[in-house]
Amino acid sequence: MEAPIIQAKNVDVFYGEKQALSQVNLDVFEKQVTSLIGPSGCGKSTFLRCINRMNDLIPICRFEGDLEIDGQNIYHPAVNVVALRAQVGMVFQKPNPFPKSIKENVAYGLKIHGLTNSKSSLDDRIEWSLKAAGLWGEVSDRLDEPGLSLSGGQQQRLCIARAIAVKPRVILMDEPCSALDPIATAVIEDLINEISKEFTIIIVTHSMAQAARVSKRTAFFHLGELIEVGRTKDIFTNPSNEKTQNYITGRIG
Amino acid sequence: MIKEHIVGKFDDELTRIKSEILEMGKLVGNQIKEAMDALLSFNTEGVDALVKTDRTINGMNKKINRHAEQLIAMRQPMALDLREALLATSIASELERLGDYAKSTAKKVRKLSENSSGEAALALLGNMGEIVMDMLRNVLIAYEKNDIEAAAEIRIKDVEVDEINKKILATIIKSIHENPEDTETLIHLVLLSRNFERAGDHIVNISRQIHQIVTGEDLKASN
Amino acid sequence: MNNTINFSKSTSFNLPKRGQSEFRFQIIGIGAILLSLAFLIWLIITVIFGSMGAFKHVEIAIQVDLTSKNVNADDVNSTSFGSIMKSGLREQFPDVKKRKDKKKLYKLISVESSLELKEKVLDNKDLLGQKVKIWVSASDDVSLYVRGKIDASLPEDQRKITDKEISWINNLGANGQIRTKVNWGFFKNGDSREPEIAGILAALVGSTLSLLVCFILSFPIGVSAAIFLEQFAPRNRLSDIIEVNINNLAAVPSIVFGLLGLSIFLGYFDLPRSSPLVGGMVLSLMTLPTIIIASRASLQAVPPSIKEAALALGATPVQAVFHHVFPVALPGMMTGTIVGMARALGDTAPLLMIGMVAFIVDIPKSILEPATALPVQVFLWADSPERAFNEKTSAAIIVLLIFLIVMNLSAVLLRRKLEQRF
Repeated sequence: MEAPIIQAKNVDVFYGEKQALSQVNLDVFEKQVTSLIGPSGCGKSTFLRCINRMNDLIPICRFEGDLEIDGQNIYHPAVNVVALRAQVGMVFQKPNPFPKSIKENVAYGLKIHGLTNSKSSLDDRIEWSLKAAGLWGEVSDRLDEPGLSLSGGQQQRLCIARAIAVKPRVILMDEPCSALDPIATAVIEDLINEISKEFTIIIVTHSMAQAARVSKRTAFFHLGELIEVGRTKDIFTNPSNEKTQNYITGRIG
Repeated sequence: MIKEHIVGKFDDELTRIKSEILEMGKLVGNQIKEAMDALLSFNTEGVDALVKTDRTINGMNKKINRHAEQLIAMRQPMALDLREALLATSIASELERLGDYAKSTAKKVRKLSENSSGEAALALLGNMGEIVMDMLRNVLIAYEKNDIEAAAEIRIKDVEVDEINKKILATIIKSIHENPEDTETLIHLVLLSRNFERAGDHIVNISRQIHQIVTGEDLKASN
Repeated sequence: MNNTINFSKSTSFNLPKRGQSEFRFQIIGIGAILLSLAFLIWLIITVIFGSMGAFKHVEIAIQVDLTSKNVNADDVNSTSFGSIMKSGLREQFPDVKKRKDKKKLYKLISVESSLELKEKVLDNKDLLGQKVKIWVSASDDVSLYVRGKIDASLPEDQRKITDKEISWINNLGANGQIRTKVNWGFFKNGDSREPEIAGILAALVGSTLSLLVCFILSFPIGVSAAIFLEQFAPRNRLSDIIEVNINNLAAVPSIVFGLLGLSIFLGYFDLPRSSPLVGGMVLSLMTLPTIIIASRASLQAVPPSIKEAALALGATPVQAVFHHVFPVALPGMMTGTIVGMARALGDTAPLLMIGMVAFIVDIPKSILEPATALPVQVFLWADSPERAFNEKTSAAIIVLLIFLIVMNLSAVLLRRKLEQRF
C-alpha cells in the first residue's frame, strides 16, 4: 500500500485539564475519503480540527505528539499556520458562506493567497471551482447575487467550492450534511465522491450510513481513543472490536 | 455476551424472527419424526395431515422472509444484526426444504410394500432418521444460543449420515441382485436414503449460517 | 371515562384564572404605552405651540428721509441712522411732545433697526437722496401685542405695553404700516440681546462642528478599541479590568468629563476656550464608552462561523476580522455611534465647563472660534427675562429635536443600506 499523506503519531489533546484525545495513531491515505465516526464527545471533531490547527483558536487547548502531513510535523514551531490552512481546507457543519456575492465567496481564498494574477484566470478558477462543486449550472447566471440567497444545500456546495478553489491537498469536513435535507445530503455525498478523485478528504459524520456510503476507510473514536480503523467495508460488516460493533449496530456502548 | 439495542423495538423484532425460526424448526422436526414413524410402521394414515402441515411450514417461511425484509427496511441493521436478518431467510428456506423431504418421505410410504427384502436397509434408514432428527434439534439449540462450537459438532455428525447412506446403498445393491422382484421398493428406499442424506446437508448449511451470523466468516467461501 | 375532550369548557385547566392574569397584563402594558405616548404628544404640542411665534416676524414701515440733509453719500458709515429713524417716527406722530412719551415712541421699533436700515442703504445705494418707506423690525413687546400675546383688556399697570402705545400701534396698523412675515432671521442670525432678531444659526453651527469633531475622534478610536478588545485581546485579568472600567465610564455623569476637558484641554494643552474643537473633544470623551460598548455588542452578534470560515481558508486573523467580521458589524457600530452622539448633542453640562456657554453673536467660521451649542442656547434663552425669549426657547428645542431626528433617521438609513443578512 502507498505511503499515507497524513500520519498521526501518539496524538494527545487536552482542553485545560481534560484530556480530549489520547494516543491516537492514524494514517490517512491520499485521494480517498476517510471518515471519522463515534459518539458525541469522542474526540473525532477535535482530531479533525488538529489537522488544520483550528484548535489553536482555543486558548486552553494543548496538543502533544506528532501530526505529519507529507512527512512534516505541522506542529513544528517553524510551520506557518496560514500556509498550512492554504493546504488543508475545511467545510463546516453549518453552511457559512461569507455575506458577500457568490463570486466573492469563491474568489476570497484565491485573492488573499495571491493565487491568480489576472482577472480572467480568477474567473476561470471560479468557474472551475463551482463546476467541481456541481454548482455552476445553478448559479452561473447569478454570480453577483449574495451567497446567502442560495438554499442550504447550495450554500454548503458553495462552501465546498470556496475550499477547493485554492486547490488544497486535504479537505476536512465537519459533519457537512447535518443541517441538510436528505436530497441535498445525497447531492453532497455524490460531490464528495467526485472530488475525492483529486483531493484527500477527511469527514466527520454522525450518520454511520453516510460514512458507509462515502468513505473508503473509517476510523471509530470512543472516549478520546481511536478504537478501530480499517476499510469501511470491514468496519460496517465485521468490525473486529466489540465497542465498534456495539456502536454501529446501535447497542448501548 | 451481546448487549441490547438502544431501541428496544429493534431487539423485539430480531427476537420475533428468531423465535419464528425456532418454531418452524420444531414443526419441521415433528414432521420428520411423523414421517419416520409412518415409514417404519408402514402406516399411511397420517400422510394427509403431514402434507397439510407442510403447507403451514411453507407459509411460515414466507412470513419469516417478510419480517426480515421489513426489519432491514425499517431498522437498517448493521454488521451482526444485518447478518442475523439476512441469514434468517436462508435458514428458513433450508428448513422449508427439510419439510419438503419429510413430506416426500411420508408420501413414499404408500409406494413401499411390506415384508420385502429391504428390511435391513429400512433399519439403517431408521437409524439415519434418528441422527438427522438429533442434528436438527442440536442445530436449533445452537441457533438459539448463537453457539458456534455446537454448530461445528453438527458438521462432524453429518459424516455419520453420509456413512449410513453409503452403507444403505451397498445393502440395497446386494438385495436387488438377490431379490430382483423387490426392485421397485428397493429403489424407493434408495431415494429415501438420499432424502435423508440431503436433509443432513441442509442442516449442515444451517450450522454454517450460524457460524456466519456470529463470526461474519463464510465457511463455504473459505472451503 | 369519557374519551372525548371538550375544548370549549372554560372552567377546566384553571382557565378562568389564567385568562384573567393574561388580560391584566395586557391592560397594564397597553396602559403604560398610552401613558408614555400621551406625555410625548403633550410635550410636542406644547413645544410646537410655544414656538409658533418665534417663526413670525413683525415689521413696521417708517417714512425715512435719506436725502443729503441727513446722509452723506460718501460716508454712509458715519451717518446716525438711529436719529433718522427717530425723526421718521416723530413725523408720523407729530402730537407726541413729551420726552418720556417720545422715548416710548422710539421703543416701538427694535433697537437694532438702525442697523437694519444701514444695511439696506449699503445694499441699495439708490435709496440715497430719497424719502422712502422702509420696513424695520418691531420691538419684542410690539411684536407680542400684534400677535395677540398681550391681553389688552388687563389693567394698564399689569401689562408691558401702555394704552398710548396701543393707540400708536393701532394707528400704524390702520395705515397698513405693520406686517407679519416668516422669521427667516431666526435661522440666519446669531444670538442677540434683542429677542426679535436673536437667531439659532450660531448655536446650530456650533453644535454641528462640535459633533463633527466628536465623530472624527470617537468613531475611529472607539471602533478600534472595540475590535481589539473583542477580537484580539487575550482574555485575562487585565482585559477584565478594562472591560469593567469601560462599562463604568459609560455611567459617569457628563459634567465630570467637562471638568476633565477643562483641566486637560484648556488647562494643560491650552486649546482655545469655548471652541467647538474642545467641545467636540469633551463630547467624544463622553461618547467613547458608549461607542465601544455598542461596537463590541455588534461584533459579538456576528456569527463566529464567518470568522472561522475565513481562518480555515488561510486568512490571517486581521484579514478575517477586517474582511468579514467588521463589514457585518459596521451598521451596528454606526447605530451605536449615532445613538451616543445624539446623547452628546443634547448634553449641556460638559460644554458649560469648557465655556461654550458664552454669548455668541457671530457665526463660528472654524472649530477654533468661540461657539455655543443648541442645548446651551436653549438654556440661555430659557434663562432670559424678556417674554419673547420664551418662544425662542421652544423654537430652539424644535430645532434641536429636528437635528436629533435627522441624525437618527440617517442612522436608520445607513443601517438599512449597509446591513447584510447572515
